[in-house]
Amino acid sequence: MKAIIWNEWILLRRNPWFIGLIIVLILIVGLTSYFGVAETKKLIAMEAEASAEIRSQWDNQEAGNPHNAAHYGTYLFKPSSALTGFDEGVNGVVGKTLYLEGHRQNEIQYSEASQSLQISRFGKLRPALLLQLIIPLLLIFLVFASIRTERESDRVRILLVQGGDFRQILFGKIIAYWLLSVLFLLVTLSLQLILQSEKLTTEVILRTCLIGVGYAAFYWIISSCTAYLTANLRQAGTALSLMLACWIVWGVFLPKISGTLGEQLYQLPTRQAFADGMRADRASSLDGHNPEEEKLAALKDSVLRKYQVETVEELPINFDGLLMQADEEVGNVVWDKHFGDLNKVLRKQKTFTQVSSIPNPLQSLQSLSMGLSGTDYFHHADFMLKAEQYRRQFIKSLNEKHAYGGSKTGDWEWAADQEFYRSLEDFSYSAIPLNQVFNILWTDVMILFGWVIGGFLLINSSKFRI
Amino acid sequence: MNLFNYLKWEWINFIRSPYKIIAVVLFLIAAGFSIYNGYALRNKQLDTISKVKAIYKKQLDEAKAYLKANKKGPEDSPWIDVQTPYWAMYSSAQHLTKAPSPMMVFAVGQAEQFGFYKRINAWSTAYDGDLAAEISNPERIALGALDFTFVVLFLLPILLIVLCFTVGGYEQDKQVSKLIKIQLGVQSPWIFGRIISIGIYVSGFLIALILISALFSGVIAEAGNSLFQFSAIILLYTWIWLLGIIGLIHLQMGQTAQAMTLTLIWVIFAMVIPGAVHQAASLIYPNNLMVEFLDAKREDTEDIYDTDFPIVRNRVIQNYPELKETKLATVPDSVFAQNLKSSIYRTEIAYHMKEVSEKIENSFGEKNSFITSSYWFNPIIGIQNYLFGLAETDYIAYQNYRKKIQSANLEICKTIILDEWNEVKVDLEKFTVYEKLLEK
Amino acid sequence: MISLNSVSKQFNNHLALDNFSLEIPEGEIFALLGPNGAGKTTTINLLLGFLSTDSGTVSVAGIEPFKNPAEARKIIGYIPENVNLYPQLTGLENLKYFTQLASSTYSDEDLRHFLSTCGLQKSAMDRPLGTYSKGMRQKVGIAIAYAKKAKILLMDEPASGLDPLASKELSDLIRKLAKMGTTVLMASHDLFRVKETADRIGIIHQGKLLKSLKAAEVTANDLEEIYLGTIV
Repeated sequence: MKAIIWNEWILLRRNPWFIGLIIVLILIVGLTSYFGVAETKKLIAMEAEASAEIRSQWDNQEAGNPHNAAHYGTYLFKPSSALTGFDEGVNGVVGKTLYLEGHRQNEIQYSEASQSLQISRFGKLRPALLLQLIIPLLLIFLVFASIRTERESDRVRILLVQGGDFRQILFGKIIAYWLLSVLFLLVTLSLQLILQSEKLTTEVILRTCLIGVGYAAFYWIISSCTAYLTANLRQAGTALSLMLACWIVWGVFLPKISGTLGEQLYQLPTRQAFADGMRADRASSLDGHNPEEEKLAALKDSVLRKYQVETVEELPINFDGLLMQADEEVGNVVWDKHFGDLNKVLRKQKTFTQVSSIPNPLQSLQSLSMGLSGTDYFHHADFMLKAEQYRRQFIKSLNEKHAYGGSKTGDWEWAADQEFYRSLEDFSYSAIPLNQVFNILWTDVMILFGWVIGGFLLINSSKFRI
Repeated sequence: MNLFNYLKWEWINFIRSPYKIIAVVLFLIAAGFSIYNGYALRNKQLDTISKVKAIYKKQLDEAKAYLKANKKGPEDSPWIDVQTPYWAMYSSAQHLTKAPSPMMVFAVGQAEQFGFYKRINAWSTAYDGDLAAEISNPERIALGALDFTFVVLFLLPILLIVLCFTVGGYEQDKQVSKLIKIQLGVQSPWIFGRIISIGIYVSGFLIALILISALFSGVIAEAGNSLFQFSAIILLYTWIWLLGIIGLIHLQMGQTAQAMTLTLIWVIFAMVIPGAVHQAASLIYPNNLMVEFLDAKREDTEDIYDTDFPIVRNRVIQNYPELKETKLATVPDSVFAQNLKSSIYRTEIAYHMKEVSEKIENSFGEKNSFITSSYWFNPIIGIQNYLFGLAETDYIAYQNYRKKIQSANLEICKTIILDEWNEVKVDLEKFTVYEKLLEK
Repeated sequence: MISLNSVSKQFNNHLALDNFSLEIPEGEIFALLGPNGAGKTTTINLLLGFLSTDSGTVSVAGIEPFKNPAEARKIIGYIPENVNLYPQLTGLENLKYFTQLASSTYSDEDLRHFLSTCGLQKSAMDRPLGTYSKGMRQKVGIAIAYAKKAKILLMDEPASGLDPLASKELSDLIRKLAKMGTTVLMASHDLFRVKETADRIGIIHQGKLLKSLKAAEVTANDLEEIYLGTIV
């Protein structure tokens, strides 16, 4: 087998066209890595600058009523993950700016995709695009050409008579080209790490390594399927046509079809219906006949009892702050329900696309790649949830200041000093830890693993036929 | 051999090639699915718009009822007075929608990136949260819509490659091309004849597909002219690919090399060049975080409020000289009621927001100029965006919608302030005028 | 050494071999002469272990090739009609690679010796195979079998497309190998080359061995007459 692998490399090395192609591809891979990382760095710098500006506006606001500050609110800018430069995932379409304020949860806005004419249908020329679509195409051509020439020149019979085993010959060729594709992978991933060495963490290195394993598995699948078809189909052209068809169906057709089908099977509400649902629940929560309203009355009673006074005006604290917080908590429950429902539908859609990728390992790889790069829907939803948690804490601090800061009920002119606003903690985001990422991506991992085993079995079952 | 004979032989060749038939069937499925997607999205948007309008109508009717009953508004909201221009305008449920064009059936374009309905008041901007895009699966959106434009611009070339890569290539592989040359004298007319035949079949197939779906979805009746242009461009695009294929076949490379080269050309034009332009555009003009807008909304607004009233009043009068003709034009500043002062400040803020939004749109325009300047080497995206333009589902269509929103906001502010300065008390008649304010 | 006993082989509805029997003793050069589709290549594929029989038995040196291909192939050398080895590799490198596959390790000197024994000029050994003539490629192919010390050499139309000189050199080489004890089965439809090379000639038609002649006992003209008389 070593001789077969070595021989394939000698043959490739002596083909000037091939050497030229490899150099061009490595250059492209290198440049895309560089540009991807450069854009990510630029974005990270912009996010930091914007966050600092918003924070400085917050810190420098004049002394004022905490409830006004809750309406003034703050903005968060969704941080770009370190591997966004490798695989942008959903980041180009989900927006980056989120307004946090009292009483309501806003949607993240101003996506890059909404700021210009459509530029491409397959996304930016990022390493992920090259490694998911272009390198497999090259692999298909190379493995096909190698096995086809052995067959068409009748060299395969000499190889077999010389003692070569047909399966060994196939495995040898697959490994030779698979290793070549792994070279591209190594160049790309190493560049990802080198170009942002200043921000490397163990988590990022681990994620990068796992991305490498996922792509290497996919290259094995592509190589073994091409080798199997080329070796077993009488018409070599049919094998190539079939593999190219697979490439198009896997890379272009099925992902779009399954994504759209998933949305049609598990329908999301329209924005209007979602807002109406929230509004209706919120309104019913504040209805006088509603238990929530009773809760507010109960709150008032318990506070009055606690401070042993008859009216809220007599309270040493500002009851308005407590009311605001109670209202906030009612709103939070409503949001949790609706956002939870939305999340359930999106999870069902994701599960559907994951399961529908059983016949399409490329889709599993795409999901795995986005997930490990921290740019898939789950990472986005995680950011939204953590931002909401922060909003709740942020507004709670303001409401508590309103309640216990020293003002009396009904005193809307009371002002908290700058010191207080400056003391509120800033938002800091850490992405889903890697072990949790696997809870989401295990389906993709299993599908890829199944295909890798399938590839082994296919080649193992191959027999030379005249 | 005449064209009729070429057509006959190509048909026989096609019906005896199972993989070519499978390719056409797959294309047909993709095309059908994509047209259904466009049709479903358009209907969903129309349905949403009608529901939203029904809500607005309800709010409008409530306000009219108060006016009819000579009431100021709901009893539990004593601050509302629908007889004043500000609250009347607010209660008249001003809104702007961007109805999907009938051509959305064929070109979904960027429609899923943008909101398409918005209630507008004196504080509205084109970047408000209620103008966000519809809730959708971001992973699906990132993959892009499967619309008919995608099927034609990206999948049709692959179908053409499948149908044409054997032409000349098979003969080259089987060493019968010499025989063909001897029989014909020269090979070129034979290649042209065969490819033109395939082109005629494909063109007929596409026209049939477009016409049938346009007939069922009502596009012919509603947007015949756009449909004609759309079809003409698609046919032109098809024939450009066919010409390229003819050129490549003349290189006599054999089937496999022909298939590989054509696929590589497709990869370069469909994936690599658009992807590279996309990356370059994002690097030069990264995702705008809209800090300028946020600053305008918070800091600049605060600054305007901090500015002395006479200065703001003069600025507003400068921008709207009509105010000089109003009853309160000559009233001293000190006499102005607080609500009238608020209107002045609000109008100035609206004017400023319009300026800022123009600035932001201009900065987006720079990115778009960069993109459009790449069309000469990024032709597929150029054609795609032209088709989206025809279907009014491109960025420009939604940018125009945003501009309308910003202008509408200013119009609302201007109307309020003019009526306030003329001391108008809103009645049903005046309310009807408000109701129709944005119709023009 | 080579034995086919009442072998029949059918592909779809076509009977490629019909109760075909053949015995070739050690060191003999046997030529299977027949028109296209007569069953020559099928016979070779059966001996190479690529095909199984529908009925009858096949053995090489007592080994059944289909049941035990690895063992059988250890002693077989095979030369196809076109020896399309790797054009990017030199003759020497091709030989090295193919001998490595046969688990043999030779020094470059030994390999050059093999090539030289098989008639390849020294100056050609380090040139890419892509620059070789067909005859030169055939010589490298035979050198592969020679280096393997193959006891049996199966050749499928080996002289097809060779010029007269190259064809003569090939005949001489085959005879040289036979003298060293190699049993040769060559399939051909070249009457003259068969007559010049083989010890025994079998005329095969529609899967049946119709005649078996000693090459020394017939002239080329006789052979043509017998051949045409047999297959028409």
